[in-house]
Amino acid sequence: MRYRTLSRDRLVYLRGEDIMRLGLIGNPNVGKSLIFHQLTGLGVEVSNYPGTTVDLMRGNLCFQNERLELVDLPGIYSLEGSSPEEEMVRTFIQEKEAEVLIAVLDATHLERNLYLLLQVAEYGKPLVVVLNLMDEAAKKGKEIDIERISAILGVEVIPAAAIQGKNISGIIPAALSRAHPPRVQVQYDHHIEAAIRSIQSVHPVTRLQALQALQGIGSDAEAVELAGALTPEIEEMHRMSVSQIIAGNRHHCAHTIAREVSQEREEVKRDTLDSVLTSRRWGPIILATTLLSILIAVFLIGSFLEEILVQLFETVVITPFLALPLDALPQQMGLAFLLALQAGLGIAFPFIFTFYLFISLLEDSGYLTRAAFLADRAMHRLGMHGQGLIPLILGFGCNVPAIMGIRLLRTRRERVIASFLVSMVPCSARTVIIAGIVAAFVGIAAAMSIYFITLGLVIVTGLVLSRITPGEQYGMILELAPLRVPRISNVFAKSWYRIREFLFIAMPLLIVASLVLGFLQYAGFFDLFQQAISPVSESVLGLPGYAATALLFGILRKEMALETLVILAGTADLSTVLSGGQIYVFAVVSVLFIPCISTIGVLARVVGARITLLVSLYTLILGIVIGALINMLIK
Amino acid sequence: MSMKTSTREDFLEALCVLSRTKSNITTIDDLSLYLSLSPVETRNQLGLMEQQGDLHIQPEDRVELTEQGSHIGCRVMRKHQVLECFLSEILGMDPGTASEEACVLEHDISDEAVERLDRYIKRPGGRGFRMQRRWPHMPTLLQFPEGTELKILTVKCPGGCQRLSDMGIFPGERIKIIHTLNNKAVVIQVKGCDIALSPEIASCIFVEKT
Repeated sequence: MRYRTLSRDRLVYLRGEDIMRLGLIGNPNVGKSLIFHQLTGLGVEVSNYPGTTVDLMRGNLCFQNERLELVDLPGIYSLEGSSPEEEMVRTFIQEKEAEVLIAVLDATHLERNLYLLLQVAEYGKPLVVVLNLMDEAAKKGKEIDIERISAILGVEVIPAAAIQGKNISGIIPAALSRAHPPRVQVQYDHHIEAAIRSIQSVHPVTRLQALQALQGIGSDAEAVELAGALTPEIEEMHRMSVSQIIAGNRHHCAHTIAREVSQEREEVKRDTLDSVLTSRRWGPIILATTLLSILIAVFLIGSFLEEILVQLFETVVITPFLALPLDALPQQMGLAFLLALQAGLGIAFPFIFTFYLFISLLEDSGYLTRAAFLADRAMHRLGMHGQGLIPLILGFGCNVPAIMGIRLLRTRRERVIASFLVSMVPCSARTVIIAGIVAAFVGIAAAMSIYFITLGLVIVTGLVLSRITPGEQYGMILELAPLRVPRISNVFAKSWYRIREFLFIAMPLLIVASLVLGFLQYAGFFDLFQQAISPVSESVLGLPGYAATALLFGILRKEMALETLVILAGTADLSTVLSGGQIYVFAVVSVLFIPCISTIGVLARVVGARITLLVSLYTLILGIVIGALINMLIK
Repeated sequence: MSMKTSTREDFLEALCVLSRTKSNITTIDDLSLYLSLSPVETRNQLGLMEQQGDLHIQPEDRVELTEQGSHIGCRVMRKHQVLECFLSEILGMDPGTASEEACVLEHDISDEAVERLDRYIKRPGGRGFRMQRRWPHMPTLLQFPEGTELKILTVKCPGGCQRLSDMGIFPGERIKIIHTLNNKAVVIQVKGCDIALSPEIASCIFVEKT
């Protein structure tokens, strides 16, 4: 970040002007990201837009020795909605953050895409239009008259096929030299037009501001107030909300344009595969099979990679480090740092990255939205709707990005419920514990039973929360992305983008936690804590004091509970010091209780401190109670 | 020379509507544009109405309603709104046709009938939740099987329907039901795109078969 500001200031200084910035705008699933990656290549920077939680992708590119910045705006349906993405893009355009906009339209769904373009046109920014997916449109027998649409819109229209890289190279030159404000303007209902004029006659605002005010948005308070006096009458006359009237006019305009430039819309042939995937009978079965096989595949591939990586780390880094002649404290701290790196890169990374590869594959193929649709009913029982399935699935990889994904849910009620449930989903690190001690020392059936206990508790928690959480429930409105064969490079790019959240948010916390732990161990805190906790832990959980200490440090990093246990027990063969029952209880408690410190950090950012505290308390109590219950049953 | 009552009422209604939706005072040009009449014809009619004491024609062709004129105009406008609402929302007529029909009926219906109709629309008897009680006879998306082609009549979404409107789900649009699940979640095709809706959203979308 600092580098960017510095170099930019210098550029400004040298050339006396700011760096040129271009914004990519469009509906979701139109191939915007693919175009972005093709134009920018490597060196993409992900940043939060100031004041929001929405991620922006920025990339640099050079054209004729000039440096440009390309911003990939999140895919949206409208500029006047209230979702964080829509608000962010609206501010982005209004604040004149980009000199030129590149609107990406899906040629196969021209009419729906034109709706957003008509809104963008109202901002009067220089624009070029990229008509993507021309190849798919041609396959469907749809022809679009490029010259005609270009004439109607009053801007350059570039037909492209991003998958084949066709015409992508023409975008930047066109945006730099031939972009200008579009000519097309929506003719609104005469009541709306009259209201716009009457707001403007009293208060000097632009047409756009007046239109926004009529829908109750915009920064100009006086215009919003004026509009507030006019809207009830219009709504009474039309028996529709002003937003609906305006949307209707825009859709009509988009429809007229689409009909004029492309041949009559014919019946879209339904994909038989699609019908099977979402059918009543097969859909749920396919969904369950898919998710289960992904979890098993991640488990197998992850443990395979983990073994190789950990072994490699051990021989290349840790053994040489331990051989160094160092004092006790530096050695302890250095070891703690290296162990954290090993845990993050060697243990968590293989599981999480493999998991994200599968999830990105599902997402890019368009299946994830279908999964959300199929799960809608079940998710309702848990107090959420279909879209809530996605963060829950992501939680199996790492809770941190899953909690970030909660932001997609629209009501606070759903976000609160999701934050509880996601924090309980057994992530890769917890899988490591289950696989590392229960499967190894007790048996594979016992390991699976921990999974089932956890998932059962997730469901029970959801059932209870859906009854007691205040707030209204809002249903799912979700576009099913078209089924496509995913591009492997895109899948990797997406997985990489996802794992960045783990690497840059979870990892630093992990290392710091590890260092603190190393210091405490050096200072002899372990022994003190162990003595204090022993009576409680032995009577309630039936675990020796050092196991409770290990559990405590699991808060810092889940899989660390396992490592600490091995260190404190003094042997890697835990079956010699603990009974099968004790190992089982240890695993259950460490899987259930308190999300790791990185998850807590992200939770606080997404749902606030109060809910974070509640989640932590709830899981702590749940872990201890369930552990105590199992202990009693085993006895 | 006298004029037809319905023409007079139409003029007064138009003036009332215009006076409420425009900030500046209505001119003869505005009125002829609104009624799709030639300015000459409009001027002739207005002259007759001025004699009857419905309005005054001010300098610069500005038309000002008298108390009598404004009273009649508002009454007709209200009748129009109530009738249109009844025809489109209770009987399920197409909003455009309902408006045309209301234009004819508004001149003959008695004040009492309109009042009763209005009360009926606002608080008709029946059970069920609020949404369904207000439109008791209108079927929602939930009532149709897969493959049905439908036209949207009204969308009454409790949480606001901006997202639905943006995706093309608004009155007048033609859609098709692609899939339904056991719990009534549906996938509909709108503007060539497949959109999945939860049952509670689908229950707010009132439709008719095409």
